[in-house]
Amino acid sequence: MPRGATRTNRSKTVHDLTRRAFLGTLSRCGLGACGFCAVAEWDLQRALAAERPESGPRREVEFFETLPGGAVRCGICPRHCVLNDGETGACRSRVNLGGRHYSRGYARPCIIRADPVEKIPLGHFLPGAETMTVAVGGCNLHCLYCQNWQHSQARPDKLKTFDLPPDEAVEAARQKGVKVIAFNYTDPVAFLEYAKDVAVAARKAELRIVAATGAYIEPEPLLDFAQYVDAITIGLKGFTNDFYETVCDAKLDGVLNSITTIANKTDCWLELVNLVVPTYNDDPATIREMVGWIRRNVGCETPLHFSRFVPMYRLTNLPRTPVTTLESACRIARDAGLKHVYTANIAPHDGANTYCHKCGASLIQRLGLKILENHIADGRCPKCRSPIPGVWK
Amino acid sequence: MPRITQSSCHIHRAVLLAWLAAWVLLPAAVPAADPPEALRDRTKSDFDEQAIHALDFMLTLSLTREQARDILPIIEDACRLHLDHHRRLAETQPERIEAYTAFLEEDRLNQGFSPKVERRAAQVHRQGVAIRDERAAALNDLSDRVWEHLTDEQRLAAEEYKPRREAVSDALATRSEKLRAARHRALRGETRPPRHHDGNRALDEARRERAELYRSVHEMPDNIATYLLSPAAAGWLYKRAGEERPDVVRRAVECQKNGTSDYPLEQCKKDDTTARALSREINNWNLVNGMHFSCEQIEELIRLIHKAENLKVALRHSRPPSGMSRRDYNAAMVQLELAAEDALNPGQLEVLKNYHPCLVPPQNLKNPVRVGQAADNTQMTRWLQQARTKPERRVEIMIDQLLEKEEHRFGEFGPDELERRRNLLRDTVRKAADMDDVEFALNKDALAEAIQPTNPLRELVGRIDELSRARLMPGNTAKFLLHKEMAEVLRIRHQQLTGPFASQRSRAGTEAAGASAHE
Repeated sequence: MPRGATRTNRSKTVHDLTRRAFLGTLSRCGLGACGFCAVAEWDLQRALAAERPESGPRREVEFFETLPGGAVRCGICPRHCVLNDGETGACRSRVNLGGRHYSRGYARPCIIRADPVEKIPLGHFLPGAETMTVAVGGCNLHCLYCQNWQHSQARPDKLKTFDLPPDEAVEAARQKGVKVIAFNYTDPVAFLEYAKDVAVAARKAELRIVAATGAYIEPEPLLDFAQYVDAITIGLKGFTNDFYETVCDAKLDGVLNSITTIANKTDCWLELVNLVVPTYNDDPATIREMVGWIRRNVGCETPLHFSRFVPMYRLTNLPRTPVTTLESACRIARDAGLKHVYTANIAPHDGANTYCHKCGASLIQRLGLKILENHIADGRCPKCRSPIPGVWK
Repeated sequence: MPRITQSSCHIHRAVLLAWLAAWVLLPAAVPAADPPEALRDRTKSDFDEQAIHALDFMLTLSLTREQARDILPIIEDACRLHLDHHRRLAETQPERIEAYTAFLEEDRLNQGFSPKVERRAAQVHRQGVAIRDERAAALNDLSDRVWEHLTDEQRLAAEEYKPRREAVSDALATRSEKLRAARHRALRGETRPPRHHDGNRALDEARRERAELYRSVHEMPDNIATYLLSPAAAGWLYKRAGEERPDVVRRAVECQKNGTSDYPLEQCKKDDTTARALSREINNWNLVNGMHFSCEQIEELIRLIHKAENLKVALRHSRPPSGMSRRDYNAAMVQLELAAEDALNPGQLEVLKNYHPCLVPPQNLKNPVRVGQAADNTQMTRWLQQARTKPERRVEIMIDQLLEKEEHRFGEFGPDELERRRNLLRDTVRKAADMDDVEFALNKDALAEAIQPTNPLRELVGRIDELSRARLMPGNTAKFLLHKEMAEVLRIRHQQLTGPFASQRSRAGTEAAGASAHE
């Protein structure tokens, strides 16, 4: 057979399928595959939902309003999410199921750890005490720099969780020998029902409760929870509404209300923490305004921690906060008359140590979260005997 | 050549060395018509010194002509290795300098490292260590081949050989130079013990242990690899064997003397010096960044460094009996060290105590655990978390892998130590497996802490520091803080903390980054 004939035959076979036909077939195949996948996914989701319709223990939310048509309006945080049947709130942890408002992550913490109380951060509350820290997924703030975003920006039922009803949480803490249960890492506002039940059980067992929160919460639920809490650290993340709206997806007023509520209407030990983010909230004038407000509305004895920002989540292209910025923030706060101002997330730094506000004697020396020296005796300065505000035993 | 016994070795060595070096071998080994006078120059090249030590070593071994002939193929391989090493240096040194410079720039700002810069610096550092270790391993393999051709006596001599400092000066100095050196030694009271031998058995023991441990972790060329398998020794060996040097040997000798046309020796040395200086500066910045000094502390430390430098100068130029003795110097340095420690707060002292010079700072210096940060599991916690869920057979494999890694990092375990460590790991995994999930979550850090491996090298460094202090000798505080390179770093940090220009620049950089983030 001549060589040319073979080539002609082969090329004819190939050319039977035109480019247009080939592309057409390919796109039809692609569309078919996509359709199949979509149907399969929908079917799988339906099957999973049927098998586990919001499975696991759940507890009804105490603060909500029923609206016509089976909708509910959440009453926990100033967002007041209106949820139709099956919808989830902005905190990802509360859901409308058949016209009732439920907490989704109840008794399903995603984090359990033993930590020092300094990690909350609390500088004037049982220094060096070990806590059992519990966190449930979800958060009603959506901070761009959240360092626990894997947990806080996820639905609680989508995370790997522990099964820990309130009584068992208290029992676990007792077994471990810790005297304090803490709610940290995610905001307890998002799992308030569980946090409250644990706090009630802990109170019965004579354990202490501490919490770290963004405090974007209505006064009523806050007071309801705070009656069982011994110490609370509130993250006052900035002092402009613009900052809160841009970075935290919240409003400043709600947070300021909560701070004054805790300071004036409860017996909780209060500390404040401000994460200084370069270019967002490091303006000295704003810091001056903030510490002035704290002095007027909360008091000059409330400890204030200026915390160093480390690039995280959606703000990874910012640098860390320069140490000098934190130092100047501390200076501004001290000049405004605040007695106990700290730097956090820098170690070793003098700003992390506690000094007597009267005589300047060194009271507590810290290295990061570790206590190196504690000279406070009976809540007083050993040198001048001035009382040091805080909970020391 | 007559056989030289161990006892009479040093006499013969000195006589033969002087004679051979001056009249016969040096001109022959340096065929580029270098006259002996050139070698008497004050700026003796490294190659000349290596050649003299090589000759000294060969005379110690007293190799026979047959042995020299047997060794020649190995020398050729060694020369190939040297050429290859030089080529690798040419490829990697400029990159190393570039990466270190970028890293240093970020280190100076103390605002963390960008992942790319940090990764690159760590990568080139590891590459440098790997090149050094691989070369040492390859040379030691060749050394094993040489070993097979040696007699028992020669093997013993090779193992015990210590390069004599005076070998070079004996061979190269003029008579008047020798006399002057002897007079100088007498004036300085040369009877004092050498620098690292102060009569304290415990301290000497710790230092010896540290050196051995270091050798067990990092491959180091042995004596044969160092003195006999160097291109500088090739000339002597070919002369001894009575054979012509092949091309590869000529090229290796030329490479060791002058480098290659695309990477001259001068450039190679310059790059190496630069890289080392950068690395030292990075170490200093890492420490300063980790310590968060205040302005007052920096001023005090700079003042103390000035005093320490003056002491060093005084020691260098003093003449006993009126001048400063080593003992006076040590006592004064210890005083300065105590003053420096007084200026630090307890947290800083704790950091300094655990500090170990490093290129990329460890997590606790670079990025300490933050308040409210959930994900701070250590490597050991993660390992334990994995192991507790695995069946026993798989756990054994995991333990084996872990032990292998630890031996690679910290040196080999003794048989008892290995068994103890294995049992500890096994028991801890079993304990963790017996716990329920909540109990484990609460206890994992304590369990991981219990099985955290200790770095024996660091422990020894700590022990040496303690022993030195007990002997009223300066310790790690002086070593890390009281030197002039640190003064320079502290001066820059002081400017950054106080100077308007520096803070403005830092602010401008921050704002630029912030603007891009807003976008």
